[in-house]
Amino acid sequence: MLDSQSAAFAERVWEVASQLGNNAPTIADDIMGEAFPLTCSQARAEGAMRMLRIGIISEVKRILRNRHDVLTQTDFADRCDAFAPLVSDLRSKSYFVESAEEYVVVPDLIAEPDLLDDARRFMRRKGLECLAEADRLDALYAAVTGEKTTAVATISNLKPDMGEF
Amino acid sequence: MVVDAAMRGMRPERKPSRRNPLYVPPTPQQAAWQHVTGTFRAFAEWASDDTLALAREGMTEAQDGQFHHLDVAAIAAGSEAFTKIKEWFDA
Repeated sequence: MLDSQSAAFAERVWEVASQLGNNAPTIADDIMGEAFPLTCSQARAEGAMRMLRIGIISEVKRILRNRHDVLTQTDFADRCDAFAPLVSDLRSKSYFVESAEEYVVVPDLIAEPDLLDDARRFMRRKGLECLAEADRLDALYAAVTGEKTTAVATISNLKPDMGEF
Repeated sequence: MVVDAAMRGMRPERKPSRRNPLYVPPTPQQAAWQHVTGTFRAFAEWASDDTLALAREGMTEAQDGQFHHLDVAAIAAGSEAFTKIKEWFDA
């Protein structure tokens, strides 16, 4: 694919994202047939459609993420100014808003508290789901190792800075 | 580009792009306290009368389970820590 074709594809992704939301699979399904008609029919004939779709979804995700990067550090800081100390505690610059099915950057969350409310609820629910799943892993671990006495696993919070939310 | 995309699909996601450029990591003290407040806030928000009633039914069902004693011990140890934390407010 030529650079100009790449740019056109990215533009098409943004255009569809503004109509359908920042949902990569939805966008990929919407545009792949039109963007790559020959590749798609070939992939279908060769049974590679699923793999092709995965690749295109991944590229759409990358394009969507890069759009967030258009927001420069200065813009980000300026738009978060009033809440700067609280914003600097946040690890990520965008958070998933379930009702919108997309990641929303922090300045936009500040501008729309309903979205912020959704984002914080989603984050906490995910946390609780993780804790419950860890509990089920505990039971499996106890069964596998024949552990009968360990009540509380050591929580490895030695690297609080690791990972992204 | 399709081949690029397919290749990328097989590798893990690229990391740094969602990072907050203003992020300042917490001190160990802040992180420890946030662990406490985060845990309590989540529990307090979750623990409505309805969800607690459901949990009680779940406990009854789990009582004969192979690992119930581990849960009992974990809850006892957690309660002890929670009591300690509450005492800090009164100190």
